[in-house]
Order: sequence, then C-alpha cells, then structure tokens
Amino acid sequence: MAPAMIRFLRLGLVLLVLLVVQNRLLNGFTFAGLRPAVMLLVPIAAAIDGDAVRAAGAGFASGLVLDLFLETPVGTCALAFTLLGYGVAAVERTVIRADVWLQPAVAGIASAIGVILIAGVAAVFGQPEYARPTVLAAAAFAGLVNLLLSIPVTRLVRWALGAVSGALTERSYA
Amino acid sequence: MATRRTTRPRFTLALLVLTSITLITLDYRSGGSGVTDRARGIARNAFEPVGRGVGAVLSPVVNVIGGVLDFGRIKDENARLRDELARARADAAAGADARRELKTAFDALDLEFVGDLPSAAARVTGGAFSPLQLTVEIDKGTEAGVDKGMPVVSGGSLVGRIVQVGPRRSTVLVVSDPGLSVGVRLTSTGDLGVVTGDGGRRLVMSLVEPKTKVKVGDEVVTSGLQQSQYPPGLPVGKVTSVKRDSAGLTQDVVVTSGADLRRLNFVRVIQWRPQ
Repeated sequence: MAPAMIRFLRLGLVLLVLLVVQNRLLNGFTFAGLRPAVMLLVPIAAAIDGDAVRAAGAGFASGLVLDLFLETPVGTCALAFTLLGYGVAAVERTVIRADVWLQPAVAGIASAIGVILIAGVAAVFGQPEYARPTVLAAAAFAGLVNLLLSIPVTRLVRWALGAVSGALTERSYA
Repeated sequence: MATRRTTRPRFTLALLVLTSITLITLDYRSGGSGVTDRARGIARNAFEPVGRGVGAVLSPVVNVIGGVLDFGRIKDENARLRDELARARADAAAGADARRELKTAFDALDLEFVGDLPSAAARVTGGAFSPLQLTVEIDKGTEAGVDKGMPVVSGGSLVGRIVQVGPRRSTVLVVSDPGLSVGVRLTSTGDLGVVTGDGGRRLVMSLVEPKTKVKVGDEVVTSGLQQSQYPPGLPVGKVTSVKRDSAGLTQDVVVTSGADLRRLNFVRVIQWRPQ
C-alpha cells in the first residue's frame, strides 16, 4: 500500500477515535457548562513538528470531519483549523521552536486561540451569535484541558502522519 | 530552493482556504437540504453504532469518575429533589383540576393543548462535538416518528429542537445554544419576548417591553404565535433575575431552564410540526 494511503487511513482512524473520545467521554467532564475540544489538537499536533503544509492539511481534514457533526455551515471548522495549523506551524518554526516540555503549553495556548478562531470564522460567515463574551471562558477551558491531553494526542497524530525529518523530536534531544 | 519552500505552503494554504469558503457558500445556498446536509446525515448515521458501542464500554468509567467529582452536588440535589417531589405531590391534585379547565378553554378556542400532543421517549446517547455549539444526540429517529424541527422536552420543560435526523438517531440543538431563539410569553403578564441561550447555563429573554413588570419567579412558556417553531404553552423556565438599565429603556431578564440542560439523560420528542 502506498505511504500516502497508509497516512490517510491512519489519520481517519485517529479522527474517529478523537470524535468518540469527544462525544462519549469528554462530554461527561464539563465545568460550569464549559466543554473540552480535543479535535483542535490535530492541526496543533501536526504543526508542532513545524511542517506548515502538513499542519494545514491535517487541520482541513479534521475540521471538515468535525463540520459534519456540527450545525454551523460545513467548512467553518475546516477553515478555522486550516488557519490554526498553518499559523502554529509558522510560529513554531520561526519564533518558538518549542522544546518537548514546552509542547503542552503551546498546545494549550493554540487550542484557546483555536476556539476563538472558530467563533470568529462563524461570525464572519453569518453566525455572529457565536462570537460572544463566554467564548473566552470556553477558550480558556479548552486550552487547559488540551494542555493535559496534548502529549498522547501529539503521539497519535505523529503515528498517523509519520515523523517529519528534522522535526522537534530529533531537534529537542540533539 | 528557498522560494519553493516558502511558496508551496502559501499555495496549499490558499487552496484549502478557498475550498473551505466554497463549502461554506455551498452549504448556505443549499439551505440545509443539499449535498452537505446529506453528507452530515451519512456521517452521523455511520458514527452512531461506533459511538454507541464505545459509549457502552466507557459509560461505567465516566459514571464513576463523574460521580466522584460531583458527589457533593449530587447529595445536595438529591435533598432538593426530595423536597420538590413532596411539594409537587401536594400540588398535583390542584393541578389536575386546573389542567382540566385549561384544556376546556383550549378546546373552546380551537387551540392545541400541549398535554395532548403525542411524544416519543428517547435516551441521550452523546453530547456535543464542539465547545461552542450545544447539541445532544438521542437514540430515536425517523423510525420512531421523530422529524426535523420537532421540539424536545425533559421534565416538562423545553430542552431544544431536532436539527438533524437519521433512522435511529437524531441531533437536538439545545435551547441554551446561542443559535437557537424561542418565542416566549410570561405567564404572569402575557407579555411576549424571545429567549436565546448565552452558550452557558443562562437563557436571556429579550425584546421585553420596558414597561412590563417582570418578577423573579415568573414562569416563561412558549408563545406559539403564528409560524412559531413550538406549540403554545410549553414551559421554558423561570425568571431568576431582572435588571433594568438606568434610563429604563431596556431590561435584561435572565431565565433558568426548568430542565437540567447540562445533564440530560432522558428526553421526550413532541411529535408536533410547525403549522
């Protein structure tokens, strides 16, 4: 089987696992009505290796899958996740160059930004009701939970997409 | 080489952004009945058995952890519910009489009485997929007579509306979602307004006449005005706070739902379609 097909199937499996985790497990752990957002970690995990194309692609795929389970227009999360993946990869490669121990912090902050980005995209494309003050609390909570979940999800995504040459893992231990 | 490295990511980004915008446009143009909606239905129907299977395995773990984390709250709630049950039993006899009178009045006016409407009981099988949108998945669909647009209640109070339906599953958009607005009426004064969720736990009632005297504890029910998405008289909740601005031009009325929207286990789908 071609490597690209293997990556595609693995990514599909990871997305299915994360959807189940979000829908059946994490929804039980709410705080004051706030809920986790584990799917945001897919573009972020792909971006942490610093490959912008891969991060944007993974973001688009995961966002599009998530869109099929939401009531916002299809493409909203795909757009937000694409921008998030690309943005994190660009910042990671040029500014932060985060060490392994910094990855959870990057994932947490990027997740919080991701929630705001989804609300922003929804607002721009005709759903201003989602851009409201409580989004900040939702973003902070999602960021905090993703800070804890980032390590296993990053490993899952790396398994699905394969390691990038010169990626963080090698760089960090050099 | 350096140019190629910087151009390719930007080209990919531009392509993906354009594709996303095209999809959003297509979804808007289809008005919820096109290719994108069919894709939603296929994805959710395919996911349902997987989610159900995994949910059955995970639910004991979730219940134990949730129970430990929420022990104090559950204990308090148990005491409160016992108290409420005792009061409800006392009110039931008087309520039955009032209900009979109300039904007679509705019949005389040729209006639908919400208590007469057929309904289907359903179990909540899953929660939302996004931190911003408040939806729940239920285990009844078209095979049980559930259809898009039907109102959903729990404990007699409005929970939301069916937005996506499959043969054996449906998606409910919860009333506290900011994307859902419900036309309501204050039972004390008969004044009308619109209730919208704030994405958290509160429902905010807007478009209330500045001169209307709203009191804490006032009951709020669906208005059921012409072309309403809900039948008239469906309980929504109670007013828990009222704030008037200094000029007296607007008032912020906060309504707390009669249902525990954060912990829905069983609901009823009212098999009623907008007239």
